[in-house]
Amino acid sequence: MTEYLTIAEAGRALRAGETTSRALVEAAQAAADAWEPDLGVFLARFDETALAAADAEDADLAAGIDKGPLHGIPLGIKDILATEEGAATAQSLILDPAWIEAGLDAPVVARLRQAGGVVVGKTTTCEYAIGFPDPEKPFPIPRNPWDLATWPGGSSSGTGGGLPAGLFLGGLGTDTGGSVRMPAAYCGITGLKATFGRVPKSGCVPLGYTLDGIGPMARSAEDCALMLSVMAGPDPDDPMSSLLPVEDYAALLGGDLTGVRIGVDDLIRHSPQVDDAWPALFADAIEVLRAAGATIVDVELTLFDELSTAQAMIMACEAAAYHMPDLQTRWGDYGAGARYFIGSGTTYSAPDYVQAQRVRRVGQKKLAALMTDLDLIVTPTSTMPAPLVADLDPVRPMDSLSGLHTFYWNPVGNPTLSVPVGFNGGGLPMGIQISGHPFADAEVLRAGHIYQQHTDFHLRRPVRTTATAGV
Amino acid sequence: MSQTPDSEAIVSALLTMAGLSIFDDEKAALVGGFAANRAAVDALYKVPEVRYEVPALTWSSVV
Repeated sequence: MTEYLTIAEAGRALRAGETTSRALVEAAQAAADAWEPDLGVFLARFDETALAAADAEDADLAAGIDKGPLHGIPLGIKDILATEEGAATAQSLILDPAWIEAGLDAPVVARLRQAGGVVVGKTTTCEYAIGFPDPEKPFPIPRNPWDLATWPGGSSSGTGGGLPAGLFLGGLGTDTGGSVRMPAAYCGITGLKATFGRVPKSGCVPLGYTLDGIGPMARSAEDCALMLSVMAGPDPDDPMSSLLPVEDYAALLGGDLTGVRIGVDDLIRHSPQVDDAWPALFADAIEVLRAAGATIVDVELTLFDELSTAQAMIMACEAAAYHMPDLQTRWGDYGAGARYFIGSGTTYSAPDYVQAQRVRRVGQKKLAALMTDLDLIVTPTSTMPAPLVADLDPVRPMDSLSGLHTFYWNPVGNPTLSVPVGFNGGGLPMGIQISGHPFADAEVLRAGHIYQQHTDFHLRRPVRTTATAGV
Repeated sequence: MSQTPDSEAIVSALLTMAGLSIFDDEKAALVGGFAANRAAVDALYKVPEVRYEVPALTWSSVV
């Protein structure tokens, strides 16, 4: 593992001549050697091309060409995004020729690379970004570095698990119902579901067209801000990408929370399961925000169940439409979790789908009304920590995800950041969500950064333990 | 719409219409969860403010 925990820290060291991109990449590769294959982070490692890219970035920096904060930084890319080194497989046997033959970077990957980022590998995902890992399929089973018997969350599993273990300093995830925020919370890192449309999703295998988003994952909110400034901005191949100007998110992180009004909803009424440690962790996190100057206001999100239902239905219906020919002819080639969830999209009617899209509008308006005199809303990412891998049931997914509270934020589209707020009695990380107004991604990141100026949960390192093969 | 007298018949018909042949345990899970899932979907039709709302889908005549 590199001695530098964050992108910001490594970037300062690079410019001070204290390290090189090659050293950062070699340290990341050494960490991968130490943790893999038990951690199940990588579907493909690009060791040789990464070192060559690192050398090129070092040469540029030595020549006075500084591409910015991501220059020379090792990055992991969820294998649902196209990269020039290898095809996006979506961790599936259902190979779509359009993606296999691409061989080009998705726009967001190209932007990271142009900013000097070094792609070290493609990370594991739930198949097509949905479901659970299937041990009967020839893919790694992602595990959580805090306890290898537990799952890192999904669907951005490999990026989530690889970050605290030091296999890269930043990475990409995608979030349709919580796939950035769930692994961020379970793995003790920071992950942003940006405002819908803030980051173009062209070059990304679709799950739910009207919900999907690509988000940065890293140890800190500051690192997510550095990545978002590079990733954001329109792309002609994604008509849903926004034309609004991109901000320098890292430059807006300063100050305190004086004058910031934060609504807090603990969502306990929607939590069938709550870890014993959670109420105190949540309360402590709120107190940190209050001590940083925020005004805390109790609020209650409305239509929470309805929007969670709408999210699941829209995602299932849109995914079923994309996959239908393969579902009909190659059902058994899909993993058990993916095929069950995607296939469930056929049990809804067309009016149901349209109704869900209408309820989204209502939900947006109600949330906007609630936030009229609020800047941010804080909720739990999950009231439960990472579940055991052995407990994941592909046809009863919510049995092991009953504490998860990410779904609501996708249909409304607002930016939502998950930050770690401590550990439960078993040493597993837990996290909160900080949500803001549409396109107030900067304010969300700023609150997360200020919180992390007063805490160090995001900087903790898991201890390498023995493998738990068969667990 | 909330009447689901025979979830198995309904789920079977929907899967047949979609052309899907799924495994028995998967079908059992879909059938077992169908009534509750249907109730959650039905609740979307009871949101009062949705009456005159347009779906959150965009369309442009320009490609």
